[in-house]
Amino acid sequence: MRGWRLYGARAAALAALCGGAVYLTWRFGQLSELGVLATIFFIAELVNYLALLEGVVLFWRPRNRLLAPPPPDGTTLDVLVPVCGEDVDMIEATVRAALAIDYPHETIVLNDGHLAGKDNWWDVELLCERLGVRCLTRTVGNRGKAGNLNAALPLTSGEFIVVLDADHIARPDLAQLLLGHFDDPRLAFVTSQQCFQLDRHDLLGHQQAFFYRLIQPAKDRDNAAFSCGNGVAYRRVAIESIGGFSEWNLVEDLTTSYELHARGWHSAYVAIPVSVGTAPSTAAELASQRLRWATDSLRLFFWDNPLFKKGLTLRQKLHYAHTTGWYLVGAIDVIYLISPIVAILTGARLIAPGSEWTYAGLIGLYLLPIALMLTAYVGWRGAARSAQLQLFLAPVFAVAIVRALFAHPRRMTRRLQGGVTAKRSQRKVSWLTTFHHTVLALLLVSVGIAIMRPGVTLAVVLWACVLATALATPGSMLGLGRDMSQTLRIAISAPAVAAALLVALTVWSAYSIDSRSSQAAAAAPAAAEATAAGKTAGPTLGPPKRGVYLGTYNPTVAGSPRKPLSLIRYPGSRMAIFHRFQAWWGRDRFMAKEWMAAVKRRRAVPMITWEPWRKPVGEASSPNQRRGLLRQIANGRYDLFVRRWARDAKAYGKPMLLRFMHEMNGRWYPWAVGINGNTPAAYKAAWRRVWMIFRREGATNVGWVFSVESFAGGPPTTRSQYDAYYPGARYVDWVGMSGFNWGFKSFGGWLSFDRVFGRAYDVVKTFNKPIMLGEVGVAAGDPRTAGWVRDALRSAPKRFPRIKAMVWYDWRHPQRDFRLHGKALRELRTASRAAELRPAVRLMVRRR
Amino acid sequence: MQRHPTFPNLLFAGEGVWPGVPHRVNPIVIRIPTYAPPRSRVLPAEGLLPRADAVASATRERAGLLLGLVLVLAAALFSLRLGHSSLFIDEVFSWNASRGDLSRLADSLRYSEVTPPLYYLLLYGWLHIAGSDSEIVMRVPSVLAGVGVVASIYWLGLLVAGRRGGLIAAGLAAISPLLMVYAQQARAYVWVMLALTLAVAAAIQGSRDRSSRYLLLAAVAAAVGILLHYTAIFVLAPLAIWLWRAPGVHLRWRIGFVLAVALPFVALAPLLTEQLSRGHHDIAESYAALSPLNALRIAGTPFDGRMLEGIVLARELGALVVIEALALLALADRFRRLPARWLIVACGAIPLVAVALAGAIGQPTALTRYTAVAAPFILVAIAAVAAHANRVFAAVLVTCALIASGAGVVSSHKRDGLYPDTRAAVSIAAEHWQHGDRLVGIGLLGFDGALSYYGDKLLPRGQNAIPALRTLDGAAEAPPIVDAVLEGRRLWFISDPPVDSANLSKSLEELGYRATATQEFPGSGRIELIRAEPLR
Repeated sequence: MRGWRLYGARAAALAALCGGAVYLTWRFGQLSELGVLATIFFIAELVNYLALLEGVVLFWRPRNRLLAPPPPDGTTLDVLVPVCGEDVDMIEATVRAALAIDYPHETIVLNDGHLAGKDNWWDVELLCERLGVRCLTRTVGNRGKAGNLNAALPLTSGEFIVVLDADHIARPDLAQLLLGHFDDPRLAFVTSQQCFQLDRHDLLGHQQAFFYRLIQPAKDRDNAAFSCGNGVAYRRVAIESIGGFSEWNLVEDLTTSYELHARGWHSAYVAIPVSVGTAPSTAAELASQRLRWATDSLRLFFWDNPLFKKGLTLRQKLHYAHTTGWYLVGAIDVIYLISPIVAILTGARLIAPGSEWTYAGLIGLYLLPIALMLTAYVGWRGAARSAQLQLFLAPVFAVAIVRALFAHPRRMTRRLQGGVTAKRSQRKVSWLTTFHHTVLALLLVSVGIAIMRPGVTLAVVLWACVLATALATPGSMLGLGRDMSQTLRIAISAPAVAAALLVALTVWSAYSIDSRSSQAAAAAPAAAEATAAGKTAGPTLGPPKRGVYLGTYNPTVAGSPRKPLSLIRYPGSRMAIFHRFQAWWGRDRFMAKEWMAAVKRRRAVPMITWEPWRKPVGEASSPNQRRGLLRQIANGRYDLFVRRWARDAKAYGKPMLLRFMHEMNGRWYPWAVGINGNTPAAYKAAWRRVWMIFRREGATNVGWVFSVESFAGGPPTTRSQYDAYYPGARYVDWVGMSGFNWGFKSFGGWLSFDRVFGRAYDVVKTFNKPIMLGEVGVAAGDPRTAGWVRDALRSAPKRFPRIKAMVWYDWRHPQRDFRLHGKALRELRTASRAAELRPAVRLMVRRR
Repeated sequence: MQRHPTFPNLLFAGEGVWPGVPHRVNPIVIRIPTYAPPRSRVLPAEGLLPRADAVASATRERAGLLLGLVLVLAAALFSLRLGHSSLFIDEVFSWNASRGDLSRLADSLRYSEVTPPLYYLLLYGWLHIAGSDSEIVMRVPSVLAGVGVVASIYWLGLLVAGRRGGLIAAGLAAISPLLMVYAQQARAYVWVMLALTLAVAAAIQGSRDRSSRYLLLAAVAAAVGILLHYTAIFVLAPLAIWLWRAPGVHLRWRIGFVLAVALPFVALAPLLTEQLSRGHHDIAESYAALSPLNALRIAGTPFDGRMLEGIVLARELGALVVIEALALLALADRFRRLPARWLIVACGAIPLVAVALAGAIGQPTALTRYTAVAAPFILVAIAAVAAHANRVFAAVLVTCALIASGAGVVSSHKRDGLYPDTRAAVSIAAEHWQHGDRLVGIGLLGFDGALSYYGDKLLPRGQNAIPALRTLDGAAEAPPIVDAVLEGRRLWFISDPPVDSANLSKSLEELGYRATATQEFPGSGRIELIRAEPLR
């Protein structure tokens, strides 16, 4: 690895670190608004980021070794071929290739078949006799490859030892490639790149290009390259100096390298394959092989931790800690697999609503450089395979952690002994891959559910699609034959890719329609008429920088259309918002222009709770009217009426608030979601259509208040439920709440301000909008009323800092009198003169 | 002799793994998997020809019998309850364009259609020959075209996927909810499907046999296709490219085919420009935007009938089958040797992608009527995959397709009919009609020409002009209604959807009227008939 690829990869790595830092900082800031799942997800992201940081530091400078000088004359070489029940024809090929090595040597077969109880151990002996090679068949001793090699050490005498696995065909020039490096007397072993007979696509990522092209060369620079067990040349003296190959761990190659480095020996890595062998071709066999590697590596990490190993340099310690502990990081990726499923099925959120585009941008800044870095090192296919393999093996590594924790070297050596990668008859299914296939199925089902379920975050669906596509390849490697595996792979990944594209296109479509509508509105004749006075009606009401806007609802204050707005009730106060209810049917169905003009003269802002119903006389609610109302609004049935309002609103010209279809999460209004044939989608569509008409008419002075019921004292509506009918950040300027202290026993008795609003506040603040208490009231006639008012107006804003406006419901409800009297009214008057409740009106220019 | 991509010294050859090493010491040979042709395509050995002929003949007869059954099934399903549904709004456009003289057709094309003229000319001729413009008469040509589509799909399937593939494709087409809807609709969609299927099948056969006859048929069918509907270009563009690159096709035929596509398109360009400049109704945004539901409908085009909104699973299943079939046919090595594989994939996928992209940039075109041209090719793709895939996989794929189709067929043939039952509503009004009464359309029917069709047929002449309103609230401001109110006449309202009773009373009160009778008509779109009389 050198030249522009290396420099490009380094630049990409640095960019990834910077992008990751920005992304994670932003994510961390969101966590307070999200739930437990998002926190867990964030931890996984953080751990992976730290692993990336460690990787960049450790593998910054790979070493590119030159070709070795010719091996010295007169040295002796033993080629050891440990076998343990492999097919005889395979062993024959290996031995024949070993015999053909172009250097004076002795080939010795180390037959462990007898000890391991394999049937063909005698056939191996016969084979060796036929080929004229020495065969050492063990009958006693420790099982495992290390034990086999150690047993052969006293019976052989070569100055150097080359170990070849039973399924590896050696290159004839193997000795020339490896032995020349031993001119350094401190060199204990030379390890080489592994190569396997594979399908052209290497679907299970056996070539491990990233490991052999970057990690091993970088370790080599720090004298920390470890032996890969096959195609390795050892100096006999070095092995004997540590008492032979390490036997307590099955990954004898790694452990032996570790011990050698700790004794001060050196190592070398040759990035050239010196043999070609077989590799697992089914996902189950691969999982089994990697479980073995992971377990033993983790045993080293847990029970002989490299960070505390004497004799190693600091960088060697870090390298070995990375090698053995990497599986801990890999196991955390299980969280990535499960999170989108949980998020879709339970409605839990991984990212804050309304921040999807920011999320996409920032994660792009992070992931794109990582992808570029991997591509620079190993090509796009190798990068994709690495990612796939990492996700596939995550649950395997999790199992390995558990096994390693309970496998102390002294107690568990025997139980873990044995086990080699199957060469020919490989298992097709395994309990290890059950989790993986379950996750894959759940991901596909989740995507299917998410497409038809409103409110699921787009990014989560896309993430689920990406995961399903990534898992499709290993998921299809069931030993079904090439054709069937390919069919399965395409059958799994095609719908996931298609779903991702469809989701992206539908979002793009919604965005296009919105922007086109806005453009059309800008070009519409009505807008052109308004050009003289400015294209739009100007800004709307924004949240104050400090303090809280105070407003009131009282019909005597609001007055009749002919005699509006009497402020005798609140002398000396400065109300910022005057509230009025207006129904779509009935006398009051058109905009009260005189009243609004009076509000304008007071330099206040009118807020109209706009109710698409006919208000029943003397009743608080009448939900069973105008069935299918929302759908009709969404279908444009009331466009003319809405347009008239929009034009009037625009003509008004000053900021005003429209609290449209409020308390939709209750069951007492005909527009409430879930009753009267109303669906969440219809609510959303109706809101957006009305909003769009106002936009087209240029009524930008209208601020939209999405106002919910707080369900004082009861469980609030959850955020995931809101997500189903929340029209979207673009369509909403304020999020409002209604809440009353009814004082009724059936409503929970006397409730504090915190009981009324606290739980709902925690939910609505996640919308990231200024919060308005659109209706806040307290039962009259109770001695505690005045205290409640004082607390609400003076203390509560400090406890609930996101509340930016408070509109007092100072009137008689059909079921309860909320009018303020006496001391309570005086509290309101006094409080309304306080500076915190008289903030300067701040305007907000709405984006077009 | 191939070299290992990451290990250049490794040779994939019979002589051994390592170069320069004698064969006897390294006899490993790496076998490169090769494609095994499906058993049905293996040619009989010489000497067995007489017997093979006999078998082939029996197979042909059996296939012919099965095809006959499929065609009968298609004809039966397409004819079932043919006149039961009232005319759909689009069918009334066809009726409106095809009656009277040809200048009316030109106006209609310019102002209310976004389609070329050929279908209306055909319908014009047919209505004059038949001497009637009843619903059944208007729809009969579509039924015939639908059966023709099934037959031509068999031909195409036969060419691409063999006899079994052809039969599966034809069977799926016979029960395709989309084909069923358009085979029962007096519109051009089923005709354009027929023309394009014929064009593609004839082009494949013509290039294979180097037959001028078939290539001529392909060119004529392509030209007809473009004159029937602009969406034909989604299929004809890849077909032209494929034919241009097909080996053995003479240059003059290649040029001829391209001209057959391009010339009609160029001739229609001014009309298309004018039609597009008028744009769609705003209301189209509410139902034709690229919503998740519409995206699913597009992805599962051949399975999109008049399904109930609740049958989401069937829609997802249909979309899944289509995506799987197209992806497998395109990517899996197993199907590599199927002839014209890429052409079928392109003809099936391009219309879907094009319409989805148009939807993505905000055009309200996310409707399966615009992707209908892809349906025959998608069905052939499904059949090709089913005929040549692993049996278990094929069984799963076909079962899913049958479930999706079944759900669509059942909902398409529900008792209430496909479209709002305008005919029944107007009939009742006509039955109780008094001289001077006035009929008014409200809501979606305000745009629905079906009222004018049935008013023309069922109401007394001279009193059958039907004003249309978006909402009842606007009634007091509509001049024809104000006139009728001032004269104290009875009013009939047909509302789509039904009006809320409270709203109705209120609105009528404002007019000084009251509702004396109401009746609701169920269907895929519910409508309501209201009779109102002056308050005394």
